[in-house]
Amino acid sequence: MELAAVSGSLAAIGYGLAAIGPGIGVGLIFASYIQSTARQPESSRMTLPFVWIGFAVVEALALLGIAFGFIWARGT
Amino acid sequence: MAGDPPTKRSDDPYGQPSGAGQGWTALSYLIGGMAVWGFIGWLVDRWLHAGGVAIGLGVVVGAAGGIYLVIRRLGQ
Amino acid sequence: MEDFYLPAIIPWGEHNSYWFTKITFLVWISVAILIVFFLLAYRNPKLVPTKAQWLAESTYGFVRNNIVVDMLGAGGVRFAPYLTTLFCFILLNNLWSIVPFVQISPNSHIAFPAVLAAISYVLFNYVGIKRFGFAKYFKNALVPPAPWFILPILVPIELFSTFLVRPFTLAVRLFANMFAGHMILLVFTLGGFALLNAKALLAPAALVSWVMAIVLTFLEALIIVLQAYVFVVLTASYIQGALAEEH
Repeated sequence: MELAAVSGSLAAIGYGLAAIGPGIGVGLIFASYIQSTARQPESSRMTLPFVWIGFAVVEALALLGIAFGFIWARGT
Repeated sequence: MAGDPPTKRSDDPYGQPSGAGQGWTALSYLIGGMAVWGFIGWLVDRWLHAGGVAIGLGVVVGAAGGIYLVIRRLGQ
Repeated sequence: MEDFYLPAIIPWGEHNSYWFTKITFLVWISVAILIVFFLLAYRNPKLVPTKAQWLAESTYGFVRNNIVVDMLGAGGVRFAPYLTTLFCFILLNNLWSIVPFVQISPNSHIAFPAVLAAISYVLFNYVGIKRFGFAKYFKNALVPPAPWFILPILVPIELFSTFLVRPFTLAVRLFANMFAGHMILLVFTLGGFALLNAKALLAPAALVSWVMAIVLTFLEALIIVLQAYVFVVLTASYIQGALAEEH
């Protein structure tokens, strides 16, 4: 007996939930870069490489969410 | 030294692309990596009739490759 | 959507001149304005510049100092004339999308951004090959500094990202922005008329729609300049990437 049946696309809900984390993450990265540059402008050149490393790692999770949304939706 | 800014080679009149160019490069490595290896994974999937596992594996490998490229190219 | 597919302007000989539409005419006018303006502004250059001369010098100075010297260093000034022309051409073409009575930009047809992106693509590859030689340029561009056993994973990614994604995104970025801007202005303008004709009671909604159209025209003006700037900055960045010594 099913207590609660979800109809419609579960993959879409899954992707929506998966996008929360990376959204917050990317925001944190750039917020900290802006703040650190505001406190000490000379450091901006030094910290910029870390911005791109952090952005790549966090954004990879968001993009994996998109990709796996399609992969898992093919099963239903 | 750990605290030094990234050194420029003395014979290189052109350095790293700055600003917006780096952002688009990072994003294109990530998405491009996932697209290329997702496609290769799809081909492997059709060859082996693996039912979607190979696509997922390809996408993850592509994401990892993309992150590695971003770290190497933009992180030094 | 019919707005995008325009009939030939010259009705006679339409079989031969089906290509001479409003869009073609706009591109010709842009080119004419550019040539005439820069020629006339520099006809008798004075030490204390006249207004037109000052405008021409400021435009060239903006692209040269803020984009070219920034990205390419002092040695890159030989690219400044092409990049200035590119910037002015894209800007003029984009501007037609907010000029009253015209309100269509040639860049909202994929052909024009595609050709401009193709020119930039050929340019940055040619410059790289000329500096380094054919094999060394591709080796620099495709092979990242990594241990040999993971290179097979990385080389397809680099190939795709540098040689396929770059020209495609250059063209599509410009095209999509101009197309979307045109669509939004159409929606709000025609929507205002549709609301007015549907029910007289909806007249305030029609007014709101038209005010939104005016506000979005100002936003479109910002996007126009920004997209021209981004196209030129990215072209300069790709040229710089092609010319840089590798790690």
